[in-house]
Amino acid sequence: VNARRAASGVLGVAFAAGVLAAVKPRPQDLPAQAAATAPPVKAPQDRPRVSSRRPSRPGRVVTATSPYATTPFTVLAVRVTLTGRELTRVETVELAGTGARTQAINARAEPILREEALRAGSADIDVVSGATYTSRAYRRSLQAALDRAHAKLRG
Amino acid sequence: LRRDAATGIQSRIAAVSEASRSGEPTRRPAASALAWDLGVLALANGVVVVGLWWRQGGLREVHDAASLLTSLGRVTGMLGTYLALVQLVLLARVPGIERAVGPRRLPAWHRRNGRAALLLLIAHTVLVTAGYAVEDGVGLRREVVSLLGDYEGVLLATIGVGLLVAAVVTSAGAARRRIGGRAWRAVHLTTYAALALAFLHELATGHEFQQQPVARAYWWALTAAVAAVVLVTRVAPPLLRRVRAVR
Repeated sequence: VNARRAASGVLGVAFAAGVLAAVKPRPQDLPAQAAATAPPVKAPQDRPRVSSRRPSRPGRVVTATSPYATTPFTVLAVRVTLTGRELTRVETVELAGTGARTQAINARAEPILREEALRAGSADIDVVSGATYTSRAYRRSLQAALDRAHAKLRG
Repeated sequence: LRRDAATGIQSRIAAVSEASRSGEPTRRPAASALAWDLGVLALANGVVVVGLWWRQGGLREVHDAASLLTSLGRVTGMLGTYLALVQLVLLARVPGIERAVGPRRLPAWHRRNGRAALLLLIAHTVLVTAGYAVEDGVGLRREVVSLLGDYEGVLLATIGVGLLVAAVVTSAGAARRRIGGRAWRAVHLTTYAALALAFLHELATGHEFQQQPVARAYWWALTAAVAAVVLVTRVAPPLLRRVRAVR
């Protein structure tokens, strides 16, 4: 009876260890000062990450860039352009992530977030499925850039 | 089907109270070996579920108040969901489990485990909401609106947790007597829907499952296995009985 118990116990341990070993580990954390300074990794950028549209009526044009928004693995920043009070251009000026897994998540999510932001005309955009961290950082970044742009419009 | 399941529960309650009157039958060695195996199975999966969170950062992820709340919110969500799945299996009338645990202890376990699962899932809801609100620097109300509207499946999952609250609240002795067996059963049946409603947001927003094929496959397999057990033990028998009765 004891041998049988030991066998099933070993199987259980092997199962748990096997599954956990097969799971990809946590990506490397960003260096500590990444939030304040320039990002540590310049991501190769094959095409500009810009979405823009024609303003519905002419108005004063202001542009503002957000400070860096970070997740534990990603640094990003966006630049927005307002024409009048209307959001007419969104550009992801920085997007760097640690490790292949983070970069894959970011590469998929970023165009969706950028397009959504332009469509919504605000930072109130849906979180992209499977990219919660990046989406949340993008929303914060977008809100910060919009706040700065609005402040410029008033000032 | 619903009525059959209901009479099933009734007959099981009768059987249980009978067993407790007549005293627990002594367990045979086969049953105790089975109990060991089931314990190992439950524990190993519990380790995997918490391990997914740990591999994904666990407490290493904590560097401020927001990440502490969010990280604890994630592990309570994972563990709460796991206990909720265990809960389905506990009273799924699997003959092996009944024999291994013993008919008298089974309902007590079901009650205790059900409360633990609900507490963990409520903690998950509160902690993640609070953590996100702190991180975003917005008020709680605004964060709730954002969570319900902007995150895939979170609204459905919130409805699900509401159903679970209803199931636990109506199971307290006084409440159960007041609403009657029929209503109690109906509320309890919705817990299956509650878990299904929560499933979408687990894979769509769960940090543990993003770009993680193995973790996703494991979660699917775990859920599918529980669904299969429920189908075989609770859904199929009354259906088969009915088919036979028609013939």
